[in-house]
Amino acid sequence: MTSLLSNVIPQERKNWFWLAVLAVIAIWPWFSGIFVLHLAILTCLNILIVNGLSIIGRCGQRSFGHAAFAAIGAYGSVLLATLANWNILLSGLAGMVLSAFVSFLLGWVILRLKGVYFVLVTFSFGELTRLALLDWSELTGGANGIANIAPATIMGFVFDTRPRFYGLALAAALLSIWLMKKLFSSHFGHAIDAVSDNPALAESTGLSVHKIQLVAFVLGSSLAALGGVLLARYIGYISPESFNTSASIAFITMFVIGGQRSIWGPLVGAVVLTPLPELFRGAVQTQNIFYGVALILILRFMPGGLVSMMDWLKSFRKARP
Amino acid sequence: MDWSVLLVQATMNGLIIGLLYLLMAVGFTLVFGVMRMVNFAHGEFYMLGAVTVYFFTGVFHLPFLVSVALTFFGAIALGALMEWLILQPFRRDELNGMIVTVGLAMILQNVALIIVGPDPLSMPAVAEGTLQLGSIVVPNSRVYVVGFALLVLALLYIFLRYSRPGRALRAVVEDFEIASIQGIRARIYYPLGFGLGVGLASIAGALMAPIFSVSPFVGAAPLLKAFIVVVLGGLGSIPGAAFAGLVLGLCESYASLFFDSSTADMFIFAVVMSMLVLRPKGLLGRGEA
Amino acid sequence: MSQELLRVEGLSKNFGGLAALHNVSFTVSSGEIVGLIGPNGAGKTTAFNVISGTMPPSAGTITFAGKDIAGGPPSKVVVAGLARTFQSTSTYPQVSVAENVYRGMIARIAGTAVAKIAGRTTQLVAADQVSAEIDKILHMVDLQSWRDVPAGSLAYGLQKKLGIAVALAAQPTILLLDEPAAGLNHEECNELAKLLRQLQQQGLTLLLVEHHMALVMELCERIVVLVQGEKIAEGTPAEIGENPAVIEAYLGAPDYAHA
Repeated sequence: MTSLLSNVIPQERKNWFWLAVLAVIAIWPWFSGIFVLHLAILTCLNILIVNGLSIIGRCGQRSFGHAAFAAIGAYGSVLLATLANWNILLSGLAGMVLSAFVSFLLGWVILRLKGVYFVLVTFSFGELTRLALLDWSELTGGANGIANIAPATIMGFVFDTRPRFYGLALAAALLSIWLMKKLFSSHFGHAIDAVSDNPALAESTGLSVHKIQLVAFVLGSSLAALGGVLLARYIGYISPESFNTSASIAFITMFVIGGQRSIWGPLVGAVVLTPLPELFRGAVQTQNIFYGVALILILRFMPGGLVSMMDWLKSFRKARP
Repeated sequence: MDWSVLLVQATMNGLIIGLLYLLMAVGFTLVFGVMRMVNFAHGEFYMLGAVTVYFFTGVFHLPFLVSVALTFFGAIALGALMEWLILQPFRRDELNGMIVTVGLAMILQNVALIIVGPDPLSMPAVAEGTLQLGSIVVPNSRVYVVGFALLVLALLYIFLRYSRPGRALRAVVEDFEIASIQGIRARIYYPLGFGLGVGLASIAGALMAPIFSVSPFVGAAPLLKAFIVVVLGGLGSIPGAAFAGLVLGLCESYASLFFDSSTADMFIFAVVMSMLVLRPKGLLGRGEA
Repeated sequence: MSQELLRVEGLSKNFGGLAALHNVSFTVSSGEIVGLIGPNGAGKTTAFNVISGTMPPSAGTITFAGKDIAGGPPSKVVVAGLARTFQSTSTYPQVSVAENVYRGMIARIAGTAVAKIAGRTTQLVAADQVSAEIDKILHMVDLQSWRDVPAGSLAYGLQKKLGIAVALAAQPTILLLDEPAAGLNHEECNELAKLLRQLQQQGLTLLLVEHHMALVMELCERIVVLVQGEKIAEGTPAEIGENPAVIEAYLGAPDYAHA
């Protein structure tokens, strides 16, 4: 079944080949060692979080403080689980609701800022959150963070081994991708694109730019919060440094390198960049130089990100007789 | 201890830090004013300044003033070259240009890490001895640093106020549209603005190297400060950046007598966010929101 | 049939010390084509901006279909049935013509916010209808052969027509057109006149800001004249063409009237 107006609106066509490739990549970690599973879990969580960033990005805004919402989700859910003895479903939901509330208030005020100014405010918000987490140490443990976080338990099933948690993380990542697909083929998704392409025109056709951006911002931040909730249950430890500016910048990097204007961008960005440290085997500096160079080259020569390269390859294959 | 002594000491420290913030911020606002771009690599140029001066004095044994001068002009040249080679395609695309500077920052910091390693290095003292001012004791090295900083500022002032390229640069910073209508050519002023901007950051790093330690990680804090000062003083306002830099340095110094640092930092970021929302022009600035 | 649709009363708009509009009043009745003319700087576009809700008035009321719409926001005003076009081309250049029209409809067809996000119920129900409606609008403005072409690659005249199509997608009861003939050649202008008449026949009410005198005189049933923010005359084209104050304001209006 094709989605709404498929012959009117250009759709990304399902290419069974790529889906098969993805399926293999998704299943492979269960047949590999613990380390591959570890990377796969982190990749899935990154996919989830960067999808959130990309919803905000599709509105034309770049959030340089995205990790702050992962932090709110993580700390919120962990504190509620420990203090109020709530299970993961309840505490996770509460963490997301808390993050949604904060992002609603923040977004209400800052979304009318454009471009660079929005970046600076979100950057400041990220720093502010980190400092707050450090400062309110009776609650958050300060610089020491919170350790010994209990693993996620859903209806008796405990996600305390890597293979099990990978299932959870993979489900969350796939859910977020499904959400993106649904969202951007819906009326609201097209409205988001309209708002980012020509806000004055969109407003004059009856679309409330402010409301649309706000909903997108809250939605995107909630996905980050979910990522934080899961990260806390996986690593078992969170600290303010888990969600600092470097993390926000890493998310932006994945977003840009993967593809800023595509549903698959975050997936590609996360898949390519998360396991990369392994290739560099401890030469962290060389790895970071590579990130920096890749970022600049992509922005310069392939602003659509790696995803656009795949489109180019696909069209090349089709063009051959 | 005597309060007046503490206060004067805090004032002295505040002025020194304030000068540092001023140099960083003026450079940062220069880049923003000319290119409408937030330069996330600004802190790394500070770091480069510090590292370069360390090499010139520690390894090549050049006199401090010579090292600083070489660093300054080298940084201007490097900055201009980078603008011309890397940032040029983003002259009309500030959002992506900003992300490019993030990449640049990553590259600069890690190249430095490879060359110098992560451990802090300390520079040989610029001067020996101390200066006695009433009951205050100031190390001579700090006196020299303040002196050089003031010299740089004086030169900058003369340049911006009395030289043709300087005045043109100010025109571009203060009103970009009018400047381009008057035909001030982007080809020269973009590299010049960026080069001079990061040159100031490098000089700040070079001058502060004898006071603070030198390592590839010293760039992060000055970047945050530059950014805070510039927002408070007004993005695109040179006098605003200068004024706010000094004020911030002094405030931080006095505040440290009473508050702990993280509360003060949180407060400052809250103020920054409020300024961006309520008064993006800053306390003195005239840039558009 | 001629009931009052839009009533502007005592409308004033100040920018700092400058009065861009001062005490302007006029009405537009259902089914009319009314022209708003005046020399440059008369405040015509400001009037449009205020009426469509882009900026609030400094004084005065704007009543549309009995409701007070002053202050906007534009999105609310559109939902009430008042749409506008812009002086510069108002399109989404990177996407197709059909997508442009679709985006003009979203506010109308997507229902409540919740339905907007879910996208599901409205989607299944309206899929074919939406496509058919897009085609109907494109047919009306004669753009159907450019359906899948990126809007930015269209010729200027066609882009202006697309701007009108996007405004029509909101199914307004009144359409405000800001200099629709600007930059059009003679043939395109005639086509525009034909289109606007067709729209009127289909029940749409039109308020035009225009400099192209021949078009205004030919098309409009009534004309309101603004000079430096104030209304100096109102009447039929014939009356306006002979009004000494108008002639004085335009210096050579008689030539225009006979163009």
